[in-house]
Amino acid sequence: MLRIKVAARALIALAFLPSSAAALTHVTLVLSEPGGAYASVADAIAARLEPKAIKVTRLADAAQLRDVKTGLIVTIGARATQSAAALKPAAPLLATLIPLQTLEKISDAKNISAVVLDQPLPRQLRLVRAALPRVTRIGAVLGPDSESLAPALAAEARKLGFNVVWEKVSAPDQLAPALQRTLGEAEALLAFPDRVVSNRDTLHDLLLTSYRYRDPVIGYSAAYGKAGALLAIYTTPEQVARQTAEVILEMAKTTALPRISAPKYFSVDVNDKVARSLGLTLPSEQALVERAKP
Amino acid sequence: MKKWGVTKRALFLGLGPASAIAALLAFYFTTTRFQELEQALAERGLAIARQLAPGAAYGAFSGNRQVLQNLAQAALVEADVTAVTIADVQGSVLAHSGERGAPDEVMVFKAPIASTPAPLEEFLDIRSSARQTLGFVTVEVSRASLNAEKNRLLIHTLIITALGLFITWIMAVRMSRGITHPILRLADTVEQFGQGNLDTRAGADSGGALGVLQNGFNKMAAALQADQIELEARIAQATAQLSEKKAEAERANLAKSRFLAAASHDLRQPVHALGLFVAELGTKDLAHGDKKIVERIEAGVLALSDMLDSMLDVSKLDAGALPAHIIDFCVADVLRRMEAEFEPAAREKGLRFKIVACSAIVKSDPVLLERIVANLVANAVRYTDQGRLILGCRRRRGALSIQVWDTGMGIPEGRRQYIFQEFYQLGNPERDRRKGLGLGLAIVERLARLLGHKIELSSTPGKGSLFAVEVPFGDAAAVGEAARPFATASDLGNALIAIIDDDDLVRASMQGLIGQWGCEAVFAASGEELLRKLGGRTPDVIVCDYRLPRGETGIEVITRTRAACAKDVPAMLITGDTSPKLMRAAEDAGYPLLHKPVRPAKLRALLTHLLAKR
Repeated sequence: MLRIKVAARALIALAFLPSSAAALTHVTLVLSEPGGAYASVADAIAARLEPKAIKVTRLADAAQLRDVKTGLIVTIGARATQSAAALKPAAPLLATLIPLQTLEKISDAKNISAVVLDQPLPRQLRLVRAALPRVTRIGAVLGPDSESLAPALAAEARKLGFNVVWEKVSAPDQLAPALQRTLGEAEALLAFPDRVVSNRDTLHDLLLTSYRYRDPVIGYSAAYGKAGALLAIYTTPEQVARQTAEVILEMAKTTALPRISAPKYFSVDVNDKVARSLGLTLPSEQALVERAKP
Repeated sequence: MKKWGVTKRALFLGLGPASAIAALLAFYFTTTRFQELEQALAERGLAIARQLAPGAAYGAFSGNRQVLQNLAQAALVEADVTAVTIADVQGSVLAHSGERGAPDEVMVFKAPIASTPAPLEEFLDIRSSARQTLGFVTVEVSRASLNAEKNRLLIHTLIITALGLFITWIMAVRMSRGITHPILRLADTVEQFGQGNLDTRAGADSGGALGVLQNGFNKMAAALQADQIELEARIAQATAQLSEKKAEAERANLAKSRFLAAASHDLRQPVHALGLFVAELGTKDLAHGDKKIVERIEAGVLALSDMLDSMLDVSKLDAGALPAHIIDFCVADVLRRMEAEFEPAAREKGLRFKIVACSAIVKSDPVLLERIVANLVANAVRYTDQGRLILGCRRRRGALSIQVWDTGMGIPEGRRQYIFQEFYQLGNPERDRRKGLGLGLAIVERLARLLGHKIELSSTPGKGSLFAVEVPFGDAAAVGEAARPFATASDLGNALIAIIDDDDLVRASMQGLIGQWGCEAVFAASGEELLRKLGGRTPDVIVCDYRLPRGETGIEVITRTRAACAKDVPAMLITGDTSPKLMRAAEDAGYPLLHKPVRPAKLRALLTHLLAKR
């Protein structure tokens, strides 16, 4: 539902983009933080754009965006996006390295598009099918930020022959019982970014609880894999940068702001220790990536 | 504190600051250590609670009470942990182990249970508003071991402090002795020195200021002692000089006395003989003209005898050889005799002599009192050229004052102290014989002292003088027959008188006089000669010169003669010697003593008296 809405808005925005604008020659990068993943994304974008005669400028402070009237603004990370959106710049804005839920909370402005981090549900479900062929009941605990996924999840799961067991929680103290109930019925747990259910504070407890029920968890980031999830399916910053650069180059040709796009490239991690603990033998990560693709 | 002695001060100096520092340090370190112990226990308790909290996180998250109970139980193994409680956010207990203690016996620590954060990628993290608290771990830690440790620490501190103070005390006592002992010894030395032990010296065994003090004291003591010795030497020297002078004066006095005695003795012999010759001459039938000459010679000899008697009186009084016989008697007799004695002389000088009659009874020696009054009246007659003399009595201060008034030349104020001295005469620088020898008042003064009477003198120069003697009143009832010493002259009868004298002249004059009295006399120059001359007869009376040849004394001769006669023959001594020693010897032996020159009347009276005893 949301996806449809977002897609529709993107289309409208595309229609309103100034078609008379000159070819895109200048991109301004706004980083949430000067280093870390943000810097590597920025570096990767610049490395891809500059050979194509597109000038890349980096801003440490979003406040300097007031002077940017032309070209494209690319925000890297949630904080940069929020700051930039608040200024309502004249130039179009492309947000990257940001979950969709976060983007939706920040702004619904017409001249904003994004390359989000959320993996498409079918991709995740295909991975489960490929990695755990015996699993039939998929569990999920959804919080305020992720409950909108529930209908799509049910529909997509059914397409692949899964039964979905899910619980909704609205407060932290409901998490443990909901997890226990869900894990009691399901054979594997799909995790989605959510401020109540899945964040850095609850990650350990979630994984420990699932381990007690001997249910594998399919996480949405590399950290999940390292922390104890059996599988992790995610897009690396480099893959985000690559896709973003592609989107910008496309824009330079069409002079139109594209729709919000799901991650095109992704990786799969397998935690061998967890697999061993659960008595499972999984295909290689590369094989799983291939099989997760449509 | 100001009155503290040296020892106390030194001890205080040694112990006071040390005690204060020890007490302060002990207090400071004990309290600091207590705080540290308390803090260490608190930190440990909190650390245990904090360590338990992450371990309890999953249990609290999942509500797994068994896990939490195991955790709580395991924590009890930690030392001092008495109870562990794990509760959820609402406060309901999820797990509990151990037993809760009383609030004052335990410390309670509470740590929140939070889930362990995982390293989720930041760009994927959807933050919750705050970190979630899953519950609380409460740890109770017992104070028992803390208190035991505190007690142990306190006891150790006290022991160390006490030991330190004890050692300090011993050292302070030892060290202070080094200071106080010399000072106390010095004080002791000063005390001894003050008590007169001048040989005392301080031991010079200390250094510094004490040594200076000791040396200074020793120098001072030495100087004082030297001064003292010099002073004593000077006093001894002065004393020696004085005693030498005194001895010199005594020697001079003795020489004078000896000279006087010798002179008077040598004078007496011829005067005595002269008197006896003149008396014998008086009994002879002479021509009228010759008789007058004899009378003049007799008067001259009499005056000479009087003068010698006066000198003798002074000697006797000085020797204390004159005993006073105090009796009660009527003063009227004395006054009457004064009139008889001096009326003629006064009339001869053209003076009116008035005697105021008085019949008061007085207590004195009648003979000696009469001598005093007689001397005073004689003086008055002697020094008054015109006017009158009054002799009378007045009652004064409970005594009778016998007063002699004259209208003579008077005595100047400045001379009054001298007139009672021997040979002092006023207004007689030419030493007129008729004015006497100047012994009268000297005799008066000595007699009055002997009798305990007071002599009074008041005088106005040029107008006259008053001499008075104060005599105590007597008892009328005790008045007896006044014994007169000698009977009046009478016939001596045919008595045999033994006369021993080594002087030929005296023997010759005596022989003549005794012959006149109609007595038989045996004369001898010594005792042996007498016995030979007596030829076995017993004398009726012995008259013996005291000083005889070959060192023989009259007393010895009398004793031997008596023994030879086998009879206590009455005896008398005659001597020209005026020495008090002789007078006392005669008195002790019980013999009357007459001094040369003996007046014939007196000799006769004594002989009559002795013969009456026969």
